Amino acid sequence: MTHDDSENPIDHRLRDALRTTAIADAALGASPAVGARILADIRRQRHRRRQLSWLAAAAAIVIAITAARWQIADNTTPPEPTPTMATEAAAPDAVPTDFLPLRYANVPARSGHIVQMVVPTTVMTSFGLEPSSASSDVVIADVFVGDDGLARAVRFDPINRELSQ
Amino acid sequence: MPLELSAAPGAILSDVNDAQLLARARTGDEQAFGELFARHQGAIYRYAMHMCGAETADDVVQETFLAVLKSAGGFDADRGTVGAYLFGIARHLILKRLGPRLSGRPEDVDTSGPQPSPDLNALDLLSRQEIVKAVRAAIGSLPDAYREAVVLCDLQEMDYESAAALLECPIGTVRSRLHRGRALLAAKLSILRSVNQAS
Repeated sequence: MTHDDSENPIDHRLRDALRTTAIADAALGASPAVGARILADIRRQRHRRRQLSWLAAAAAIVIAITAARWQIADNTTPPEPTPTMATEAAAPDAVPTDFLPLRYANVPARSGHIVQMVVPTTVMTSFGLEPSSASSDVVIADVFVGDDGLARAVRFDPINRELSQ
Repeated sequence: MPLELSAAPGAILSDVNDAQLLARARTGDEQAFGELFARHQGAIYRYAMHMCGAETADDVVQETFLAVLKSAGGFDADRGTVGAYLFGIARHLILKRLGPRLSGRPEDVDTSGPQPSPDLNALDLLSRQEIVKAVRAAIGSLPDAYREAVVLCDLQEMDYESAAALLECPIGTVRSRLHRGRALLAAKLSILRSVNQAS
């Protein structure tokens, strides 16, 4: 024993019996399946982290493209907006839609990210929405992706359609 | 029981200390995890096995290592070793399984009843295998807190100071629990003699 037994006397037969048991116990350990399960969990976590990294990268790219388009659009837009354009921007159908549930909407998510992407306006139609009259052929979609990588909901932002033109 | 992993050529981790292995394992280094697991899983398993049974010991080991890998902080090398840190997490998991029994005051356990005077001659009559079986059974029947002291100090050969840190109690309490635990253990094992004589 590594500790001092002088203050805790122990019968030598009990000590020997405990030592014998300790030696026999030394051969015992967790089943190999335990290590395998932990490794599988580590790999799952790593895969999830990679997925999120890809999503973040994709979102960053989309944002960068959108920003670039915005700048281009800004440069080509006449400096003095006409009253007609102002009316268009304030049109009721230019308001972003509510979030619409996607396939995994019912799977609980503790946190997530909004991934913004440019999609054809036909996607809106598939949700039963009507693209506004002044639409282009693309629209910005905000997709809510849970921390498990599953998409939960989407909303379309018609305001940005002009920017993406 | 070492975990089988596909080791990279030339990768030698036996010289790497536990703290470094833990840091590497947390970044997803499977070899580092394998080495850390191989070094400590046995002790954690045996502690859990004696405290809450072989059927749940695997779960305690698994949950302990997963908790260690998932928590980014928690380990402070200035406060103790990785081994002590692992034991601390394992104990927390064991406490959850045992409920309030272990966290209560073991000194309140009544050990004043009639006990046979320890006569361990019967152990001389037993084979090595029988002794191990008898001791394990006797340890398993001890009150939780005494069992824990005996398991940690006598089977795991943990020093009093480390045991006191783990159990969050003074060293004197560890000594006291160990003393009572051994006395009860001796009493339980001495019964073997009368059983042997009767048979």
